[in-house]
Amino acid sequence: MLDMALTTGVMHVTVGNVAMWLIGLFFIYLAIRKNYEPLLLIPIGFGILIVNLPLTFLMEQGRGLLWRFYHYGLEWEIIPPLIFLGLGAMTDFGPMIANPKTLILGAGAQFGVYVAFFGALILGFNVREACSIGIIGGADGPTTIYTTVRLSPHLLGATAIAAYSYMSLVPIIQPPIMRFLTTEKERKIVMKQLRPVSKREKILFPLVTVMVICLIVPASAPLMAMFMLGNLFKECGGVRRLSDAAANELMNIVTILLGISVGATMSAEHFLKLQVICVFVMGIVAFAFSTAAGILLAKFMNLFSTEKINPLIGSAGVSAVPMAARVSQAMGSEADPKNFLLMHAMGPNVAGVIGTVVAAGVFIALAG
Amino acid sequence: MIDWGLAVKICFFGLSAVFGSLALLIGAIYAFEKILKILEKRLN
Amino acid sequence: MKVSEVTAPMAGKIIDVKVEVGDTVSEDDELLILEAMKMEMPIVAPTSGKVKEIRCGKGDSVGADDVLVVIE
Repeated sequence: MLDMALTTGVMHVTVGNVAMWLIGLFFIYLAIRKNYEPLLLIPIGFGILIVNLPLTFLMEQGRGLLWRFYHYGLEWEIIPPLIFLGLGAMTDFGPMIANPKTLILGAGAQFGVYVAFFGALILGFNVREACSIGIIGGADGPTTIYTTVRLSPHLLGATAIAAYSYMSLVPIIQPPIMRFLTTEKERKIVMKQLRPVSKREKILFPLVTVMVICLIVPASAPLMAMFMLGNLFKECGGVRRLSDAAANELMNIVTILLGISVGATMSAEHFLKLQVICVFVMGIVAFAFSTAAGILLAKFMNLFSTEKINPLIGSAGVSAVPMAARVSQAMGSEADPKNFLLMHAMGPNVAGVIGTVVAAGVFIALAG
Repeated sequence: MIDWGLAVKICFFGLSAVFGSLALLIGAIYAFEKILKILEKRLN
Repeated sequence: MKVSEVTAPMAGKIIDVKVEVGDTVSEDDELLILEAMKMEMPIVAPTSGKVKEIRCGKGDSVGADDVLVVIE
């Protein structure tokens, strides 16, 4: 009788398991009720739940189903680049090409990455761990996952969850910082409408970018190359089928595998640690500093240029696309309902993605 | 022990790579915009 | 009589038209709701006046700089 009971999972449940079930269910609740990144938090939450059911051996090396997803999808570095392929096929670089100066704002908003990097070092993380924590500040899920798997896979659950949950909290985290750092007058700066960008420019852009970025930071190539290939699919117009597949079906498939693999790394013994709390704290520090740096850089650029930039678009350099740009728009129209910043903010927003990939490439090249 | 030398190097390299590559990209965009304009004029 | 044209600030879709021809509007009154990137943005009157013409309807896709409403 006892033997039979021991073959069930019930007898092996630990307090940690129960805590993780609650965390998993909480994520599923947030995803469904609050609409916080449901596409990711539902598979992640479900992954957490099932990986904490004893004796299922889903993450058992060489044998478990979820281990196979994790190993071949993430450790083999296949899923994040495929997500970037889809992102490329969905991203319009037009606003950035029309006003290339905004690229600098995308770079400025990577500042928080380095603040969090040093913060993590001070808290006692090693250099490789600090890189994975810092990159959360780029507000880019797949890049965070890619970097963490390369440098400190034991932190994957924490950094991925931090990145995705803070991304969905962008509309709450950013506005107070933006209001604090700008004056009413600055928020009212009206930016003139962007020039139209020709199709030829849009086709040339991914080609030029992939060459420039990969020549400078070769370690960023897997993400960058896929990102730009997806964008070339979209802009060239000749391969609608491929760009649609990359942006829809393929993207959805890899999103499922990504979510469940990330959730699967969060077993009680890996996740219930003080370290994880530190990761979350540093993550929000990174977001806050990136937001502030983008705004301050925009104000700094205004000192030198005659065509003034509304500093509210600086915070969109935090690459949570398009949430950060929407926040800029909302704050801008709050100051002046006739002001439309959305398209202007898309420039730094997509530039931020490129900036984060570059930062990740440097981390991997030097700490890997 | 934390390797602060490496940390500072990573930070310095990282920031310069981020700013450097994006600045270069700006240059590249302006350059190909110019080239395209010249080409278009020739073609007309 | 001064005529002012309200143009689309960016490409998007008109999801609501809140005024009719002949309505009197004052500055900053909402005329239309434009949706772009899954965000709804009100387009407001640049000046006070009377709506003379509405050149778009609910559900229309508009390009940047298209004239949407004429106010005089």
